[in-house]
Parts: sequence; structure tokens; C-alpha cells
Amino acid sequence: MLLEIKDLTREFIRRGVPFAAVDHVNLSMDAGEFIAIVGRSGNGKSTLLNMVSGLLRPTSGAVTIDGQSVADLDDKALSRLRNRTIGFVTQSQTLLPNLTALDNVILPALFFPDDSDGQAAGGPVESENENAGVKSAEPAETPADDPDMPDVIAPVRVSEPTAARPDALSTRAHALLADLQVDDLADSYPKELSGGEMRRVSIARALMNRPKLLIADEPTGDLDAESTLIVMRLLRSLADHGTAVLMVTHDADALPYADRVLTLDAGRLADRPSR
Amino acid sequence: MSPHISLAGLPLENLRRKPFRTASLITVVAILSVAFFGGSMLAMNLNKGLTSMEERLGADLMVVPQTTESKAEALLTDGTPNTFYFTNDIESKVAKADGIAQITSQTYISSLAAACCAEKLQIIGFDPQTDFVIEPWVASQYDKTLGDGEMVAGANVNVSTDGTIELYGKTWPVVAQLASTGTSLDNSVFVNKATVPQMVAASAKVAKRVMPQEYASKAVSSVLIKVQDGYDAHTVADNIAKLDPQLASVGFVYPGGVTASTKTSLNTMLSYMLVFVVVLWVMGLIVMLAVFSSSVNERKKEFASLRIMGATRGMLISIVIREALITGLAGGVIGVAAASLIVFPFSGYIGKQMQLPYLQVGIGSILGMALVALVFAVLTAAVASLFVAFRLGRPEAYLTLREGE
Amino acid sequence: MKNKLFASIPSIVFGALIAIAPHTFAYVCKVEKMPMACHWTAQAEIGVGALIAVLGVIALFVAPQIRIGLNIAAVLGALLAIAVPTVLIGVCPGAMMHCHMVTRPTLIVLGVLTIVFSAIAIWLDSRPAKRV
Repeated sequence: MLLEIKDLTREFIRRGVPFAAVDHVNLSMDAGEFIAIVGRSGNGKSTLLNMVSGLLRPTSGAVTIDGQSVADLDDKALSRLRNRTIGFVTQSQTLLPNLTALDNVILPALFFPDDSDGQAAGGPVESENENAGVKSAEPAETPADDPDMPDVIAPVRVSEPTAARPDALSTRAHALLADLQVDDLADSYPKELSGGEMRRVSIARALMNRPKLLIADEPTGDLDAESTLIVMRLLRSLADHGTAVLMVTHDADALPYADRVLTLDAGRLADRPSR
Repeated sequence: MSPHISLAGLPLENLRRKPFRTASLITVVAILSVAFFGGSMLAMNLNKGLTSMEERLGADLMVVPQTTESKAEALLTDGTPNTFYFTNDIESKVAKADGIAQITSQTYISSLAAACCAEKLQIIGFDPQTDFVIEPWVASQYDKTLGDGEMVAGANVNVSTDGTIELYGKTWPVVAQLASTGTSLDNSVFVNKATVPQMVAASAKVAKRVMPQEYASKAVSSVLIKVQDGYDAHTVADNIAKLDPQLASVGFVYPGGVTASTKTSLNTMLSYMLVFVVVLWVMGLIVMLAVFSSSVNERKKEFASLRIMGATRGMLISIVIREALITGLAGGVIGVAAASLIVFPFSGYIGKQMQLPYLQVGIGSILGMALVALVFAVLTAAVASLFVAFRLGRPEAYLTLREGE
Repeated sequence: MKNKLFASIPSIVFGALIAIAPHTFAYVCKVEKMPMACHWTAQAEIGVGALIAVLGVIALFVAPQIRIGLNIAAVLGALLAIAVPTVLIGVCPGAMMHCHMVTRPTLIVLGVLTIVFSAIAIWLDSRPAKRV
């Protein structure tokens, strides 16, 4: 089991009355499984996803990811789990406004640089995606430090760039952006992008570290039909290559790509009644 | 295409993409640093001036003509040149008083605002035989006895390249020039008693005679006294006044008292400056806290998204702290540079306006103080950002991606 | 637009100040019997200051590449503005003379400020126009 949710509950207090946003939810996911959860907003979907990713502590119950109990992890281990094992595509726009699209995609790869070597094996994205158009073949850049960076700031966490690493990160980021057909916007800042473009850049960011579990909150929310197709085929392809995909959506067009569709109603999770 | 982002470069990128906010913060830090560094430099220079003045005051008591006490005090601190003198032989009379260890006399003449490129000088005639005030000081620069017609010049006196100065249309040889004291002694020339009549005679030729010729050889402006151990300067002054009805009306100046009153006014000024710097510092800190705390709300989403990507709390705090450190360092460097542009080139003007002994401290102290000012600027920015860091350190405090938001 | 103003306004302002300072707020000693060094310094600074100011005015109308050249010229002009009261002509030697105590430091400070701002303008104009 990659993801195991047991009896998960989270209560909030609204106008003095406690209520359960997520109410005794149980769910198991295997690698390569693609599960979609549907439900109206305000029914606990985002609360559920935040608890799965360890951003929110449950009132009771437990989440286990890749054999690790989320509740038992300290901040560093939990951050590493979020960074390395989970990819999170949020509902609202969460690109960093001060970085270009390309730098936004690269950023997660810099948090735990020591781990990156073990992850080098080819993920599904580069290897095959029928929508990938022209594979980006960026010329290798020299791994020079940013000349604008003053010497006074000692690099804190980033280990000395080896000759190949900056290239590898840029190349991978460009490839991801190309897969999502936004590579031409790599040097644009988020405020210069449309909602759909930002969404696709954040999907690329979530995939940067080759997560085992991709959590997507309304990934097709602001996308037109064509973009939706690109994104959903990419998610399907990821699932086919062993990534577990947990998606929350309203979008009926997105559901056919999932292996299982569940409903979340008033905090309770159930299989979708067959039509 | 530029090399991609690094974690260390993120704070810099954040600052660069918010130029207005960054510039405002740097300006606040720079203003604080100007006040801190500029104020400290002034304080240090004033203190050095005072110390130097104390060292130059070898006498415990000065006997001066009636009503000239303030002129004599000005001579010791920072005043304009003056001429005043007794018209009778007072030194030998005073010397009879009880409690005197050493006694000597001096004559003060103010030169004219002389010809081209010269300014008013204070001419001080002293008696090398009995002097105990100037000689030790001159000895550090000039170990021979001052000959007739020769001069020792203060630090600010404009000595021409051939080692002479022109006074009253005559050229006088300068045998030594003294180190700066920060007092009006820097604008003085020192001559021996025998030279005084020569100067008076010279003055008569070019302009108004500075004193009647009949007094020139015996005029004494001030009798300087070192009291015996166990005697108080005031007691000795009383003894002198009781000697002779003629001496009952002379003026007394207590150089120790002058130092004390200078110290008092210096301390008053320093405490005003201190209050000013502290108030400014508190205001600046409040402004910076306001800017930082409003930026927390503005940046909640940014921090939340970093958390979702897997940044640890430590990483977020380090980003915030490093932004603050860069801001503080930039503001500090600008502030110290700006203050330096005022304090150092205008040192002479500041000293004159202060009306207090003012002596530039050495380069070592300046660099040390600049370093302290930079550390102070960086710390201020860091303290202001601690508030943000504290809020980021609380679990889930900035988590905005909750249900319904 | 921002770079253009940065490359021109400081030169105009500081150039004008360098030209007028020795004749107004940072006055030199009056000519009495014969003109002294500070008088000639004041005269020379009219020319140096005007030169710097005119370079700033020209910078308003030309391309960024040319502005770099103009600002290099402004830096050299500012060095001249500093050199005139210090080594080339000088001021009255008396430490308590107004020209020595006020005029010379004023000119030095104005010159340094001109150099700093021109250097910033050169840096801004020579930056590649990416990521703006």
C-alpha cells in the first residue's frame, strides 16, 4: 500500500459548534492507482488532502504514506516526505510570484538536494507522452553561479553544484513544461500567465521530484477542453507508469481517466453510486 | 538564459522583485545607520577633543585682568583670538601668595585678520624660564629653547613651505608645528616673552598698534599657577586676593572648572544625541515591524506554497532572516557611507559650529565604529524580522489553503 | 524610462550644484586685495559643473548605449570637480577659512555623489534587458 487512510477525522468549530469536515474516512491506494474524489465544495475535500500531505493534523485517525505514519514524523521528515514522495497540485494559484515559471518548477528539487541522486531513474514523463510535441533539447548551460548574487550570502543548503546538476534540473524542468505545452513561457513570471497556464506550470512543479503520490486538487479547474485533455492524459500516463494519483474534481470530463471514483459528502467518503 | 534559481538566491530574488518594499526598508535602515554612526562619530570626536583639552591645561589657576575671565576661558576651549593684559607687573606680586608651587605668565595678542590667505591668529607669549604649561607640550616637537623671534605654530596655522609665516608685514621663522588639539590653541602661535615687543612694534608699522609700546615689554595677560600639594585652587585664589588691595579685583579662571563645565555641556549634548538616536531607532524598528508584519499577510500564500512543496519551517525562517540580513547590510553600508560623506569632509566646520573642543579620532576607531554600525544595522533588521520568523515558526499558522478559503 | 531618469537627473542636479555652490551656499572667501586660489576654484567649478549638467540633459534624449558613455564622462567630470579644489587649484590653506572648511568638502561630497549615481546609471543601462 502506498497510501493508507484509517478512520481519519478532522473537526472544526464553526459558530461555536464543532463539526467534522472529514468524518471517519478510510481509503487505501496502491502504486499506479488513479482515484478521483468528487463532491461539492465545503464537503471536506481540501481538508482531506491537507491531512494526507501532513499540512493539517487530524483530530483522530491516521495517514500512512509509503510505510511512514504521517503523524509520527517531525517537521523535517514530514517536509522531506512532501518534497520527495508527494506532488501536490493545489486548487488555488500557488506559484511564487518572484520567480519565473522555470525557476518555480526547479525550486522543489533544491530543498533536499542530497536525495536527488536516488531519484534519477527515468520517470514516465520524459519517456513517453503522446502530447509531448517536440522534446525540449535545451543546450547545456554552463553551471555558473548567478553573477548578481553577492558574495555575502553564503549558500546555506545548496551543495556545490556539480558539473552536471544545474543542467539536469533545467533540462528536466523544460521537459516537464514542454509536456504541458507551456515551455515557451519558461521565462515568464506568474503574473504574466493566464490561470490555465499557471495551473499547468504548477502541475509541472508537482512532478519535478518524480513523486510516488500525486495529489491534485481540481487540476482542470480553470482549463479549457484542450488543456484538460493534455493534463488528464498526462495524469493517466503517470498512473500507468506507477504513480498513484489522488484527484479531487468537479469536472465530469476528468472522471473517465480515473480507475475509481469516490464521493465525499459531508465529510464521508463512499463509492460513487452507479448511474 | 540565466542559470536557474538556487535556494540561496531565493531571498535575493524576493527582494529584487519587490523593489519598492525593499527600497523603503533599506532607506529606513540607512537613516538609522546615519544617525547611529554619525552620532557616535560626533560623540567620539568631542570626547577626544575634551581629553586633548584636559591634557593641555597644565595650570590649576589663572589670574587674569578683571572681567576678562570669559575671554580667557574661550582661549582654552574654542573661541576667537583676543588681546587683554595687565598694565602692571603682577606676576611678582602674585608669587608672594601662599600655596604656590610654580608660577609663570603669558601674554595674549590677537593678530589682525592678516593679508592674503591668512586668518586671525592668537599669539601667545610665554616665558621659557618659568613656563610649565606650554614647554612640555612644545618639547614633544621641538627640544631646543625657543629663540627670540622664533615661533612654534599650532596645527591649524598656515605655515608656508619655506617654514615661515607672515604676521604684521614681517616674516617669522617657524621652528615647529604642534599636533592638533581640537581647541583654539590650534590657531595659536607661541613665542617667547622677548619676541612680544618685536611683534608689538611690527604691528605699529602696518596697522593699529596692538598695545601701547610702553607696556609691550612688561605686559602680562595671565599668570598661571600650579598650586602646592594640599592646597586648593580656590584657597590659593583667596590668598592672592588678600595680598594686596590691587589684587582684590583681578579675575580668576580655574582650568579644572573650565574642563568640568565643558564636560557638562558635552554630556548634555551627548545625552540629547543619545535620546535622539534611541527615539529614531525605536521609530525605525516600529516602521520595519509594520512593514514586515504586513508582508507576512501578503506573503502567507507564498509561504504556504513553499510548505506544500516540502520546505521545512527552518527553510522559511532562513529565507525571511536572510532577506532581512541583506536589507540590513545594504542599508547599513549606505547609511555609514552617507554619514561619512558629512562627518569627515566637514569635520572642521562641525568643530567650529559645536563651539566645543572637537578632534577627529584615528582611522582605527573610525573603522571599528563603522563595523559596529553595520552590525547594529544588520541586527536591527534581524530583530524586526524575528517577528515574521516567530509567526512562521508556529505550526500551521500561515496555512491558508484550508477548506472554504 | 526609469533608467533614463536615473542616467540624467542626478547629473543635472549635481552638476548645477557643483557650478553654483562656490558662489552661493558654500561661498569662497571674498576677493579683497587680490583673488585667492579659492576664487579661481569657484570659477573653474562653474565650467565643470555646467559640463556635468549638460551631459545629464543630453542623456535625456539619447539611446541607453550612448547614456553609458555620457555617464562615464560625468564620472570623469566629477573627478575633475574633486581635483580642482584639492590638487589642481586648491583653496586657501588656512584650516578655519570658509573655503577650506565648507567649499572644498561640499565640492568633494557633490563629486562623490555624482560618481555614485553615474555608476549606478551605467550599471542599470548596461544590464541585459532580461526579466524586467
